Amino acid sequence: MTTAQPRERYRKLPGHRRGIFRASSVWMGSDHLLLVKSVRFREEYKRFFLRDVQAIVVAERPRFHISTRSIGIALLWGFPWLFYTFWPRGFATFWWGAAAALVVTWLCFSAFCSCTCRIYTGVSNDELPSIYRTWTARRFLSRVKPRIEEVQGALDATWVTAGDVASLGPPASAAAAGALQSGPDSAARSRTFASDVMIGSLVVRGILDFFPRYFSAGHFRWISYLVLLIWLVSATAALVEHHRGVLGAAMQKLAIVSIVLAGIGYYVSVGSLTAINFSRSTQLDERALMGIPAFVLIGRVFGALNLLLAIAGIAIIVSSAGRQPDIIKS
Amino acid sequence: MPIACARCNAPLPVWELAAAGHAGCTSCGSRNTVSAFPALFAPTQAPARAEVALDGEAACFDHPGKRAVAACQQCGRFVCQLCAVEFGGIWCPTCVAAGAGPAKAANLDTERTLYDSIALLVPVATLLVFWPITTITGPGALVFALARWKRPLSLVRRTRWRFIAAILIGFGETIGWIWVVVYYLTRFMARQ
Repeated sequence: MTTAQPRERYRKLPGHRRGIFRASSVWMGSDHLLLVKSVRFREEYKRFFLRDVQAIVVAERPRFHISTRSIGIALLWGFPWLFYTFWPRGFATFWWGAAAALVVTWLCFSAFCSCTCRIYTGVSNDELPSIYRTWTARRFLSRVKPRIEEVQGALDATWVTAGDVASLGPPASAAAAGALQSGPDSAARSRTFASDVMIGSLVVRGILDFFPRYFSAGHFRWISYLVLLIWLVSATAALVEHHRGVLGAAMQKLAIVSIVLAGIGYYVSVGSLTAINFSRSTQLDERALMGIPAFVLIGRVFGALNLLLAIAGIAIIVSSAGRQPDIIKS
Repeated sequence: MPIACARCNAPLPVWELAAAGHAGCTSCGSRNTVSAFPALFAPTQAPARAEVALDGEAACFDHPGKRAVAACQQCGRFVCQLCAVEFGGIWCPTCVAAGAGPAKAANLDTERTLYDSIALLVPVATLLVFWPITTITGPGALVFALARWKRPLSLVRRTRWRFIAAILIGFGETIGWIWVVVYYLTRFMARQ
Protein backbone atom coordinates (compact mmCIF):
# COMPACT_ATOMS: atom_id res chain seq x y z
CA MET A 1 0.00 0.00 0.00
CA THR A 2 2.83 2.38 0.80
CA THR A 3 6.11 3.03 -0.86
CA ALA A 4 9.03 4.45 1.12
CA GLN A 5 10.12 7.91 -0.01
CA PRO A 6 13.85 8.36 -0.53
CA ARG A 7 15.59 10.52 2.06
CA GLU A 8 15.64 14.17 1.05
CA ARG A 9 19.00 15.18 -0.36
CA TYR A 10 20.01 18.76 0.28
CA ARG A 11 22.48 20.83 -1.67
CA LYS A 12 24.28 23.63 0.09
CA LEU A 13 23.56 27.16 -1.04
CA PRO A 14 26.13 29.98 -0.92
CA GLY A 15 26.82 31.44 2.52
CA HIS A 16 27.72 29.94 5.86
CA ARG A 17 27.80 31.89 9.08
CA ARG A 18 30.20 30.25 11.49
CA GLY A 19 30.35 31.58 15.04
CA ILE A 20 32.03 30.15 18.10
CA PHE A 21 28.78 28.73 19.41
CA ARG A 22 26.26 29.49 16.67
CA ALA A 23 26.24 28.71 12.99
CA SER A 24 23.77 29.00 10.18
CA SER A 25 23.41 27.86 6.58
CA VAL A 26 20.74 27.46 3.91
CA TRP A 27 20.24 24.29 1.86
CA MET A 28 18.19 23.56 -1.22
CA GLY A 29 15.83 20.59 -1.10
CA SER A 30 13.67 19.17 -3.86
CA ASP A 31 10.82 21.61 -3.25
CA HIS A 32 11.92 23.75 -0.35
CA LEU A 33 14.74 25.77 1.18
CA LEU A 34 16.03 24.49 4.51
CA LEU A 35 17.36 27.04 6.98
CA VAL A 36 19.69 25.35 9.47
CA LYS A 37 20.57 27.20 12.68
CA SER A 38 22.89 25.37 15.01
CA VAL A 39 23.70 26.18 18.59
CA ARG A 40 26.75 24.06 19.42
CA PHE A 41 25.33 20.50 19.52
CA ARG A 42 21.79 21.23 18.43
CA GLU A 43 20.40 22.08 15.03
CA GLU A 44 17.09 23.81 14.35
CA TYR A 45 15.44 23.55 10.97
CA LYS A 46 12.97 25.74 9.18
CA ARG A 47 11.57 24.94 5.75
CA PHE A 48 10.44 27.47 3.17
CA PHE A 49 8.55 25.78 0.36
CA LEU A 50 9.40 27.26 -3.01
CA ARG A 51 5.72 27.66 -3.86
CA ASP A 52 5.18 29.81 -0.74
CA VAL A 53 8.09 32.24 -1.00
CA GLN A 54 6.71 35.72 -1.64
CA ALA A 55 9.88 37.78 -1.65
CA ILE A 56 13.54 37.81 -0.74
CA VAL A 57 14.82 41.19 0.40
CA VAL A 58 18.49 42.08 0.81
CA ALA A 59 19.37 45.27 2.71
CA GLU A 60 22.85 46.70 2.72
CA ARG A 61 24.14 47.35 6.22
CA PRO A 62 27.37 47.00 8.23
CA ARG A 63 27.91 43.53 9.77
CA PHE A 64 30.96 43.05 11.99
CA HIS A 65 30.81 39.29 12.37
CA ILE A 66 33.87 37.53 13.77
CA SER A 67 33.72 34.06 12.30
CA THR A 68 35.64 31.02 13.49
CA ARG A 69 37.49 31.20 10.17
CA SER A 70 38.78 34.72 10.95
CA ILE A 71 39.74 33.59 14.47
CA GLY A 72 41.67 30.71 12.88
CA ILE A 73 43.45 33.08 10.50
CA ALA A 74 44.33 35.36 13.43
CA LEU A 75 45.76 32.42 15.38
CA LEU A 76 47.76 31.24 12.37
CA TRP A 77 48.96 34.78 11.81
CA GLY A 78 50.07 35.09 15.42
CA PHE A 79 51.76 31.68 15.55
CA PRO A 80 55.08 32.80 13.92
CA TRP A 81 55.35 35.44 16.66
CA LEU A 82 56.55 32.60 18.91
CA PHE A 83 59.75 32.59 16.83
CA TYR A 84 60.14 36.37 16.97
CA THR A 85 63.78 36.19 18.03
CA PHE A 86 64.70 34.40 14.80
CA TRP A 87 63.02 36.94 12.54
CA PRO A 88 65.23 38.93 10.16
CA ARG A 89 65.58 42.67 10.72
CA GLY A 90 62.57 44.66 9.55
CA PHE A 91 60.41 41.58 9.17
CA ALA A 92 58.30 42.48 12.20
CA THR A 93 57.29 45.78 10.60
CA PHE A 94 56.19 43.97 7.46
CA TRP A 95 54.42 41.31 9.52
CA TRP A 96 52.36 43.67 11.62
CA GLY A 97 51.79 46.00 8.66
CA ALA A 98 50.29 43.09 6.76
CA ALA A 99 48.20 42.16 9.82
CA ALA A 100 46.94 45.75 10.04
CA ALA A 101 46.08 45.65 6.32
CA LEU A 102 44.10 42.46 6.90
CA VAL A 103 42.20 44.06 9.76
CA VAL A 104 41.47 47.16 7.68
CA THR A 105 40.27 44.93 4.82
CA TRP A 106 37.95 43.10 7.20
CA LEU A 107 36.64 46.40 8.53
CA CYS A 108 36.00 47.67 4.98
CA PHE A 109 34.20 44.48 3.98
CA SER A 110 32.17 44.55 7.19
CA ALA A 111 31.22 48.20 6.80
CA PHE A 112 30.62 48.51 3.07
CA CYS A 113 30.05 45.02 1.61
CA SER A 114 27.67 43.51 4.13
CA CYS A 115 23.95 42.97 4.18
CA THR A 116 20.94 41.39 5.83
CA CYS A 117 18.76 38.96 3.88
CA ARG A 118 15.15 38.19 4.74
CA ILE A 119 12.76 35.70 3.22
CA TYR A 120 9.01 36.37 3.26
CA THR A 121 6.17 33.90 3.02
CA GLY A 122 2.49 34.40 3.70
CA VAL A 123 2.93 33.58 7.37
CA SER A 124 6.54 34.28 8.19
CA ASN A 125 9.34 36.76 7.85
CA ASP A 126 12.74 35.26 8.67
CA GLU A 127 16.28 36.46 8.48
CA LEU A 128 18.82 34.21 6.74
CA PRO A 129 21.88 34.79 8.95
CA SER A 130 24.25 32.98 6.59
CA ILE A 131 23.75 35.63 3.91
CA TYR A 132 25.69 38.55 5.34
CA ARG A 133 27.98 39.62 2.50
CA THR A 134 26.67 41.30 -0.64
CA TRP A 135 28.53 38.94 -3.00
CA THR A 136 27.11 35.94 -1.12
CA ALA A 137 23.62 37.43 -1.47
CA ARG A 138 24.12 37.82 -5.23
CA ARG A 139 25.26 34.19 -5.60
CA PHE A 140 22.45 32.99 -3.34
CA LEU A 141 19.81 34.83 -5.37
CA SER A 142 21.30 33.58 -8.66
CA ARG A 143 20.84 30.01 -7.39
CA VAL A 144 17.48 30.37 -5.66
CA LYS A 145 15.58 32.76 -7.91
CA PRO A 146 15.48 30.44 -10.96
CA ARG A 147 14.24 27.55 -8.80
CA ILE A 148 11.43 29.62 -7.30
CA GLU A 149 10.50 30.97 -10.73
CA GLU A 150 10.43 27.39 -12.05
CA VAL A 151 7.76 26.62 -9.48
CA GLN A 152 5.82 29.90 -9.40
CA GLY A 153 6.64 31.54 -12.71
CA ALA A 154 8.17 35.00 -12.98
CA LEU A 155 6.69 38.42 -12.29
CA ASP A 156 6.93 41.05 -14.99
CA ALA A 157 8.73 44.32 -14.46
CA THR A 158 5.56 46.21 -13.57
CA TRP A 159 4.66 44.01 -10.61
CA VAL A 160 4.70 46.91 -8.16
CA THR A 161 1.95 48.79 -9.94
CA ALA A 162 0.13 45.68 -11.17
CA GLY A 163 -0.57 44.05 -7.84
CA ASP A 164 -1.55 44.77 -4.33
CA VAL A 165 1.83 44.99 -2.64
CA ALA A 166 0.27 45.57 0.74
CA SER A 167 -0.91 41.96 0.75
CA LEU A 168 2.58 40.60 1.40
CA GLY A 169 3.22 38.43 4.41
CA PRO A 170 1.21 37.95 7.58
CA PRO A 171 -1.64 40.33 8.46
CA ALA A 172 -0.43 43.87 8.76
CA SER A 173 -0.32 45.94 11.88
CA ALA A 174 -2.52 49.00 11.53
CA ALA A 175 0.42 51.37 11.89
CA ALA A 176 2.54 49.66 9.21
CA ALA A 177 -0.32 49.41 6.74
CA GLY A 178 -1.27 53.01 7.36
CA ALA A 179 2.30 54.11 6.80
CA LEU A 180 2.34 52.46 3.38
CA GLN A 181 -1.08 53.52 2.21
CA SER A 182 -0.84 57.11 3.27
CA GLY A 183 2.53 57.47 1.51
CA PRO A 184 5.50 59.58 2.43
CA ASP A 185 3.71 62.18 4.57
CA SER A 186 3.32 59.73 7.44
CA ALA A 187 6.77 58.16 6.99
CA ALA A 188 9.72 59.25 9.10
CA ARG A 189 10.82 62.74 8.21
CA SER A 190 14.41 63.90 7.84
CA ARG A 191 13.79 67.07 9.89
CA THR A 192 11.46 68.33 12.56
CA PHE A 193 11.34 71.45 14.69
CA ALA A 194 13.31 69.68 17.43
CA SER A 195 16.02 68.59 15.01
CA ASP A 196 16.26 72.10 13.57
CA VAL A 197 16.66 73.55 17.06
CA MET A 198 19.28 70.91 17.86
CA ILE A 199 21.31 71.84 14.80
CA GLY A 200 20.94 75.53 15.54
CA SER A 201 22.07 75.07 19.13
CA LEU A 202 25.05 73.01 17.92
CA VAL A 203 26.09 75.90 15.69
CA VAL A 204 25.78 78.40 18.56
CA ARG A 205 27.64 76.10 20.97
CA GLY A 206 30.41 75.65 18.42
CA ILE A 207 30.78 79.42 18.02
CA LEU A 208 30.65 80.11 21.78
CA ASP A 209 33.38 77.56 22.43
CA PHE A 210 35.74 79.64 20.30
CA PHE A 211 35.42 82.53 22.77
CA PRO A 212 35.80 80.84 26.16
CA ARG A 213 37.04 83.99 27.89
CA TYR A 214 33.62 85.62 27.41
CA PHE A 215 31.12 82.78 27.29
CA SER A 216 32.61 80.01 29.45
CA ALA A 217 33.87 82.08 32.35
CA GLY A 218 32.85 85.66 31.69
CA HIS A 219 29.76 87.67 32.50
CA PHE A 220 27.86 86.15 29.58
CA ARG A 221 28.40 82.55 30.58
CA TRP A 222 24.67 82.20 31.30
CA ILE A 223 24.22 82.34 27.50
CA SER A 224 26.42 79.26 27.23
CA TYR A 225 24.36 77.45 29.87
CA LEU A 226 21.12 78.44 28.18
CA VAL A 227 22.31 77.16 24.80
CA LEU A 228 23.48 73.95 26.45
CA LEU A 229 20.03 73.46 27.98
CA ILE A 230 18.27 74.16 24.67
CA TRP A 231 20.55 71.70 22.87
CA LEU A 232 19.98 68.99 25.51
CA VAL A 233 16.18 69.37 25.36
CA SER A 234 16.10 69.38 21.55
CA ALA A 235 18.44 66.37 21.26
CA THR A 236 16.26 64.42 23.70
CA ALA A 237 13.16 65.46 21.76
CA ALA A 238 14.81 64.25 18.52
CA LEU A 239 15.47 60.86 20.12
CA VAL A 240 11.87 60.62 21.31
CA GLU A 241 10.57 61.63 17.88
CA HIS A 242 12.66 58.94 16.23
CA HIS A 243 11.36 56.38 18.71
CA ARG A 244 7.81 57.43 17.77
CA GLY A 245 8.63 57.05 14.06
CA VAL A 246 8.37 60.76 13.30
CA LEU A 247 12.05 61.50 12.71
CA GLY A 248 14.47 59.55 10.52
CA ALA A 249 17.40 57.47 11.72
CA ALA A 250 20.08 59.85 10.44
CA MET A 251 19.00 62.67 12.73
CA GLN A 252 18.70 60.23 15.65
CA LYS A 253 22.32 59.18 15.09
CA LEU A 254 23.36 62.82 14.97
CA ALA A 255 21.65 63.42 18.32
CA ILE A 256 23.37 60.40 19.85
CA VAL A 257 26.79 61.48 18.56
CA SER A 258 26.30 65.01 19.88
CA ILE A 259 25.30 63.69 23.32
CA VAL A 260 28.31 61.35 23.41
CA LEU A 261 30.56 64.22 22.31
CA ALA A 262 29.17 66.47 25.04
CA GLY A 263 29.81 63.71 27.60
CA ILE A 264 33.38 63.24 26.42
CA GLY A 265 33.91 67.02 26.42
CA TYR A 266 32.65 67.26 29.99
CA TYR A 267 34.93 64.53 31.29
CA VAL A 268 37.94 65.86 29.36
CA SER A 269 37.46 69.35 30.76
CA VAL A 270 36.91 68.10 34.31
CA GLY A 271 39.89 65.75 34.01
CA SER A 272 42.19 68.44 32.67
CA LEU A 273 40.97 70.92 35.31
CA THR A 274 41.75 68.41 38.05
CA ALA A 275 45.17 67.72 36.54
CA ILE A 276 46.00 71.43 36.31
CA ASN A 277 44.89 72.15 39.87
CA PHE A 278 46.73 69.06 41.14
CA SER A 279 49.99 70.27 39.56
CA ARG A 280 49.68 73.71 41.20
CA SER A 281 49.74 74.56 44.85
CA THR A 282 46.87 77.04 44.53
CA GLN A 283 43.49 76.44 42.93
CA LEU A 284 42.79 78.49 39.78
CA ASP A 285 39.52 80.29 39.27
CA GLU A 286 37.61 79.88 35.99
CA ARG A 287 38.88 83.11 34.46
CA ALA A 288 42.48 82.10 35.18
CA LEU A 289 41.86 78.72 33.62
CA MET A 290 40.72 80.38 30.41
CA GLY A 291 44.18 81.93 30.20
CA ILE A 292 45.83 78.50 29.88
CA PRO A 293 46.34 77.82 26.15
CA ALA A 294 45.86 74.04 26.44
CA PHE A 295 42.48 74.48 28.13
CA VAL A 296 41.36 76.96 25.50
CA LEU A 297 42.55 74.63 22.74
CA ILE A 298 40.49 71.73 24.14
CA GLY A 299 37.42 73.97 24.18
CA ARG A 300 38.00 75.04 20.59
CA VAL A 301 38.50 71.44 19.42
CA PHE A 302 35.13 70.50 20.87
CA GLY A 303 33.64 73.67 19.42
CA ALA A 304 34.91 72.68 15.99
CA LEU A 305 33.45 69.20 16.43
CA ASN A 306 30.08 70.72 17.32
CA LEU A 307 30.23 72.84 14.19
CA LEU A 308 31.07 69.74 12.15
CA LEU A 309 28.06 67.95 13.61
CA ALA A 310 25.88 70.92 12.72
CA ILE A 311 27.20 70.83 9.15
CA ALA A 312 26.47 67.09 9.03
CA GLY A 313 22.91 67.81 10.18
CA ILE A 314 22.44 70.44 7.48
CA ALA A 315 23.85 67.96 4.91
CA ILE A 316 21.31 65.35 6.05
CA ILE A 317 18.46 67.82 5.57
CA VAL A 318 19.72 68.98 2.18
CA SER A 319 20.40 65.46 0.84
CA SER A 320 17.02 64.11 1.97
CA ALA A 321 15.28 67.11 0.40
CA GLY A 322 17.05 66.23 -2.87
CA ARG A 323 15.87 62.60 -2.64
CA GLN A 324 12.17 63.38 -2.31
CA PRO A 325 10.17 61.24 -4.71
CA ASP A 326 8.52 62.75 -7.74
CA ILE A 327 5.01 62.38 -6.35
CA ILE A 328 5.93 64.61 -3.44
CA LYS A 329 7.51 67.23 -5.67
CA SER A 330 4.44 67.30 -7.86
CA MET B 1 2.37 43.44 6.00
CA PRO B 2 3.81 45.45 3.12
CA ILE B 3 7.26 44.70 1.72
CA ALA B 4 9.49 45.57 4.63
CA CYS B 5 13.09 46.66 4.95
CA ALA B 6 15.28 43.63 5.70
CA ARG B 7 17.22 45.65 8.23
CA CYS B 8 14.65 47.55 10.30
CA ASN B 9 11.37 45.93 9.16
CA ALA B 10 9.81 49.30 8.25
CA PRO B 11 7.58 49.32 5.15
CA LEU B 12 9.46 50.12 1.95
CA PRO B 13 8.12 52.96 -0.19
CA VAL B 14 6.28 51.66 -3.23
CA TRP B 15 7.41 54.54 -5.45
CA GLU B 16 11.02 53.40 -4.96
CA LEU B 17 10.20 49.73 -5.53
CA ALA B 18 8.75 50.67 -8.87
CA ALA B 19 12.25 51.69 -9.94
CA ALA B 20 13.86 48.32 -10.78
CA GLY B 21 13.14 46.55 -7.51
CA HIS B 22 15.50 48.66 -5.39
CA ALA B 23 14.26 50.72 -2.49
CA GLY B 24 15.91 52.94 0.08
CA CYS B 25 14.35 52.56 3.50
CA THR B 26 12.89 55.81 4.78
CA SER B 27 13.48 54.71 8.36
CA CYS B 28 17.05 53.40 8.48
CA GLY B 29 18.34 54.54 5.09
CA SER B 30 19.40 51.04 3.98
CA ARG B 31 19.32 50.20 0.28
CA ASN B 32 17.08 47.17 -0.25
CA THR B 33 17.11 44.84 -3.24
CA VAL B 34 13.74 43.14 -3.56
CA SER B 35 13.17 39.88 -5.44
CA ALA B 36 9.42 39.35 -5.56
CA PHE B 37 7.58 36.23 -6.73
CA PRO B 38 4.02 35.52 -7.88
CA ALA B 39 3.07 34.06 -4.49
CA LEU B 40 3.07 37.67 -3.34
CA PHE B 41 -0.18 38.24 -5.22
CA ALA B 42 -1.75 34.83 -4.67
CA PRO B 43 -5.19 35.19 -3.07
CA THR B 44 -5.34 34.10 0.52
CA GLN B 45 -7.09 30.75 0.71
CA ALA B 46 -9.95 30.45 3.10
CA PRO B 47 -9.51 27.61 5.58
CA ALA B 48 -11.04 24.36 4.36
CA ARG B 49 -14.46 23.68 5.86
CA ALA B 50 -15.49 20.10 6.29
CA GLU B 51 -18.98 19.30 5.11
CA VAL B 52 -21.53 17.54 7.28
CA ALA B 53 -21.89 13.81 6.59
CA LEU B 54 -25.41 12.79 5.59
CA ASP B 55 -27.02 9.45 6.42
CA GLY B 56 -25.30 6.60 4.62
CA GLU B 57 -22.20 8.64 3.79
CA ALA B 58 -18.74 7.73 5.02
CA ALA B 59 -17.66 9.86 7.97
CA CYS B 60 -14.29 11.02 9.26
CA PHE B 61 -12.68 8.76 11.88
CA ASP B 62 -11.90 11.67 14.21
CA HIS B 63 -15.00 13.77 13.36
CA PRO B 64 -17.99 11.41 13.01
CA GLY B 65 -20.26 14.29 11.95
CA LYS B 66 -18.09 15.28 8.96
CA ARG B 67 -18.11 13.74 5.53
CA ALA B 68 -14.99 11.70 4.63
CA VAL B 69 -13.13 12.86 1.54
CA ALA B 70 -10.29 10.32 1.45
CA ALA B 71 -8.67 7.41 3.22
CA CYS B 72 -5.29 7.57 4.92
CA GLN B 73 -2.59 5.95 2.80
CA GLN B 74 -0.95 4.43 5.86
CA CYS B 75 -3.74 3.17 8.10
CA GLY B 76 -6.79 3.39 5.85
CA ARG B 77 -8.89 5.50 8.19
CA PHE B 78 -11.37 7.87 6.59
CA VAL B 79 -10.45 11.51 6.91
CA CYS B 80 -12.51 14.67 6.39
CA GLN B 81 -11.32 17.80 4.60
CA LEU B 82 -9.93 19.23 7.82
CA CYS B 83 -7.99 16.10 8.73
CA ALA B 84 -6.59 15.26 5.30
CA VAL B 85 -2.87 15.98 5.24
CA GLU B 86 -1.53 16.14 1.72
CA PHE B 87 1.93 14.76 1.77
CA GLY B 88 2.75 12.67 -1.30
CA GLY B 89 -0.76 11.28 -0.93
CA ILE B 90 -3.39 11.73 1.76
CA TRP B 91 -2.52 11.04 5.39
CA CYS B 92 -4.41 11.20 8.63
CA PRO B 93 -3.00 13.48 11.35
CA THR B 94 -2.28 10.51 13.64
CA CYS B 95 0.01 8.83 11.10
CA VAL B 96 1.82 12.07 10.34
CA ALA B 97 2.30 12.80 14.05
CA ALA B 98 3.54 9.27 14.68
CA GLY B 99 5.93 9.51 11.74
CA ALA B 100 4.60 6.27 10.33
CA GLY B 101 5.79 4.85 7.02
CA PRO B 102 6.84 7.40 4.41
CA ALA B 103 6.04 10.24 6.79
CA LYS B 104 9.01 9.06 8.83
CA ALA B 105 11.31 9.20 5.82
CA ALA B 106 10.26 12.70 4.93
CA ASN B 107 12.35 14.36 7.64
CA LEU B 108 9.86 16.75 9.12
CA ASP B 109 12.02 17.24 12.18
CA THR B 110 12.40 20.78 13.36
CA GLU B 111 15.50 20.10 15.47
CA ARG B 112 18.09 17.45 16.10
CA THR B 113 20.89 16.85 18.55
CA LEU B 114 24.28 16.27 16.95
CA TYR B 115 25.53 13.25 18.85
CA ASP B 116 28.41 12.73 16.42
CA SER B 117 29.77 16.21 17.21
CA ILE B 118 29.51 15.55 20.96
CA ALA B 119 31.26 12.20 20.57
CA LEU B 120 34.13 13.81 18.66
CA LEU B 121 34.54 17.00 20.67
CA VAL B 122 34.70 15.44 24.14
CA PRO B 123 37.87 13.31 23.70
CA VAL B 124 39.61 15.93 21.54
CA ALA B 125 38.85 18.89 23.83
CA THR B 126 39.86 17.06 26.99
CA LEU B 127 43.07 15.90 25.33
CA LEU B 128 43.96 19.49 24.45
CA VAL B 129 42.77 21.18 27.64
CA PHE B 130 43.54 18.73 30.47
CA TRP B 131 44.77 15.38 29.25
CA PRO B 132 44.51 13.35 32.50
CA ILE B 133 40.70 13.48 32.15
CA THR B 134 41.03 11.34 29.02
CA THR B 135 41.15 8.35 31.40
CA ILE B 136 37.40 8.88 31.60
CA THR B 137 36.52 10.70 28.41
CA GLY B 138 38.45 8.35 26.08
CA PRO B 139 36.52 5.19 26.97
CA GLY B 140 33.41 7.33 27.51
CA ALA B 141 33.55 8.72 23.97
CA LEU B 142 34.12 5.23 22.60
CA VAL B 143 31.05 3.87 24.36
CA PHE B 144 28.99 6.95 23.58
CA ALA B 145 29.82 6.83 19.86
CA LEU B 146 28.98 3.13 19.63
CA ALA B 147 25.75 3.55 21.60
CA ARG B 148 24.56 6.50 19.47
CA TRP B 149 25.77 5.12 16.15
CA LYS B 150 22.26 4.56 14.84
CA ARG B 151 20.85 7.88 15.99
CA PRO B 152 19.92 10.19 13.12
CA LEU B 153 22.56 12.65 12.03
CA SER B 154 22.01 16.22 10.99
CA LEU B 155 19.50 16.55 8.14
CA VAL B 156 22.19 17.95 5.90
CA ARG B 157 25.15 15.74 6.79
CA ARG B 158 25.59 12.55 4.85
CA THR B 159 28.44 10.70 6.54
CA ARG B 160 29.31 9.44 9.98
CA TRP B 161 32.97 10.43 9.88
CA ARG B 162 32.70 12.23 13.21
CA PHE B 163 31.50 9.02 14.86
CA ILE B 164 34.34 7.10 13.21
CA ALA B 165 36.92 9.69 14.29
CA ALA B 166 35.48 9.70 17.83
CA ILE B 167 35.70 5.92 18.01
CA LEU B 168 39.29 5.93 16.76
CA ILE B 169 40.39 8.70 19.14
CA GLY B 170 38.50 7.20 22.08
CA PHE B 171 39.95 3.80 21.28
CA GLY B 172 43.45 5.25 21.01
CA GLU B 173 43.16 7.04 24.35
CA THR B 174 41.76 3.91 26.03
CA ILE B 175 44.54 1.72 24.64
CA GLY B 176 47.09 4.35 25.67
CA TRP B 177 45.88 4.38 29.25
CA ILE B 178 45.70 0.58 29.40
CA TRP B 179 49.26 0.44 28.13
CA VAL B 180 50.42 2.95 30.76
CA VAL B 181 48.68 1.03 33.55
CA VAL B 182 50.05 -2.32 32.40
CA TYR B 183 53.54 -0.87 31.99
CA TYR B 184 53.69 0.54 35.50
CA LEU B 185 52.01 -2.53 36.94
CA THR B 186 54.59 -4.85 35.38
CA ARG B 187 57.41 -2.61 36.60
CA PHE B 188 55.91 -2.58 40.06
CA MET B 189 55.54 -6.38 40.01
CA ALA B 190 59.12 -6.77 38.77
CA ARG B 191 60.43 -4.72 41.71
CA GLN B 192 58.49 -6.87 44.14
